[in-house]
Amino acid sequence: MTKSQQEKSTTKNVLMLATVAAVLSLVLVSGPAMQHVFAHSNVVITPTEEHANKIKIVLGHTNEPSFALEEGIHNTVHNVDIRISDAATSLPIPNANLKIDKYYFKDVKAFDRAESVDKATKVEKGVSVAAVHGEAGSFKVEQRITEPGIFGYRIYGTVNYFDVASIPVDVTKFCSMSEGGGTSALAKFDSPGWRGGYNCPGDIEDIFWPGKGKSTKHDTAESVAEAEIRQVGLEQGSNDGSILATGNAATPSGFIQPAASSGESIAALQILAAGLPMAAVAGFFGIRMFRQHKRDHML
Amino acid sequence: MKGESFTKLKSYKLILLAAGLAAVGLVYGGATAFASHSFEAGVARGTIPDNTHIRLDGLTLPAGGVLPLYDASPNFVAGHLLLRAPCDDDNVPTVTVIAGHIDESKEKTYVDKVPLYYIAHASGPDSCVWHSHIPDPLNGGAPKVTDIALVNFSGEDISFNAGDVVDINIQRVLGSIAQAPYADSQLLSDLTHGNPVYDLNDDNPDNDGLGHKD
Repeated sequence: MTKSQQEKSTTKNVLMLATVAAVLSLVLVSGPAMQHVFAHSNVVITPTEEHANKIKIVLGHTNEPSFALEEGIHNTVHNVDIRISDAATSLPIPNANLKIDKYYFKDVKAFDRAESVDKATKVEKGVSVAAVHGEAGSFKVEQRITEPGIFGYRIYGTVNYFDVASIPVDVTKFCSMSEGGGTSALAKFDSPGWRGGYNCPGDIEDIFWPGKGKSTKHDTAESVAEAEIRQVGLEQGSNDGSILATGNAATPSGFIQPAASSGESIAALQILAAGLPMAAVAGFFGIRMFRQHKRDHML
Repeated sequence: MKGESFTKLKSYKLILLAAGLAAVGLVYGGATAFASHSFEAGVARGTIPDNTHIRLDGLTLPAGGVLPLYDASPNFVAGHLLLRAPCDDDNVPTVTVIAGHIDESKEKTYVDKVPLYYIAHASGPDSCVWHSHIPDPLNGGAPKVTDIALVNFSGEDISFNAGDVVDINIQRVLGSIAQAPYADSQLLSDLTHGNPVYDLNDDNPDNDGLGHKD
């Protein structure tokens, strides 16, 4: 190969690598924008403080629809997901000092029997709510849901309204048995004004079809393929197919804490994805330079 | 010659390294940024701001004339607006900056005057410079902005000076007007001349507006 041919080949390789890097960059950039697709509840609070306007609080679980722990199948990361924004403009409100109380009823019968939230099957109070780094207006409490049932959260504390007012917050919302909520029979402990709903974590086996682990001679190729697609979809929907719930210690409250946040897992994958092409490029040129160096010495 | 080829390889490596670092920076570094006001959300992670720069020099806007500047429909957006234009003795622009949603249906249209911050130290003898936040939840204006325009409510022709310009930087989509339409209507014909003008640099603390971070 002549020198000019060699240079042409090098330029071609560099262009190809640059194209690959650009495509990867686009995938990396678009990734975070595709994370949030789920049903949530929302309530608008009208403050009485001077200069403060109405704020909207959105509540739900991450990775809706939520399901309880099923080892090796579903990783159960369903953090309590809270979004706070200015109601009129939808501008995110980044600063708040909030806590939540968590309530868990094992079934509708237990929920109906209870005269107050303190009669819940499990109660956990005073859990700190953390702001999500890099996502203004997003707050979370990490958790893994271990049992299906009826979950409710009381959010309380203060919201810093753009540094001009401190708005007190104290709202409670239970999950809905059917998506959309509204006139759900589970609203008896809800504070007024909530719209929409987040689903009560169910048993993931309920969506299996034609049945858990059943593989009969009657299975068609299509149904098997569909089951496989659904399985992949569930793992992707959990935002973290790589962390399956095995060997995690459940707390008495029905939650496993703390959970690796889905955002962190995605970030780790993205770092890996960004690092691989860089390593490939470095390796490619390293070997080339080594060979060139060797040839120069031989001459 | 060998040295030349080695330098070339080194340059390619450096370019690729820079491209890689830029990609990683875009993903991780472009998170939330806050500027001079407490309600500024900045650019959302994974997005790049959009900038529109419109030269006004040489233009004459007739009385009652409208100059559309930006249309993000169906999204309502957040960002900044910078204007250099002729002004009166009170630093109010002779042209009026309006924003909101201009729908094909007037019942779904809502526009309002944009609150402006006068920047004396960037203004000249013929034209003033203002900055504004889109939207501004503390100082007024339309809360959901899909459209921005200049309107001449002055009753006379407005001729722009050399160097007059509008620069709009849109940093974030806040929602869809289709899903969150305005409940009330407010048309251009409901408005009059004169934007509210704030000034952080004069001796009057009463016209500083709200939300400014020192």
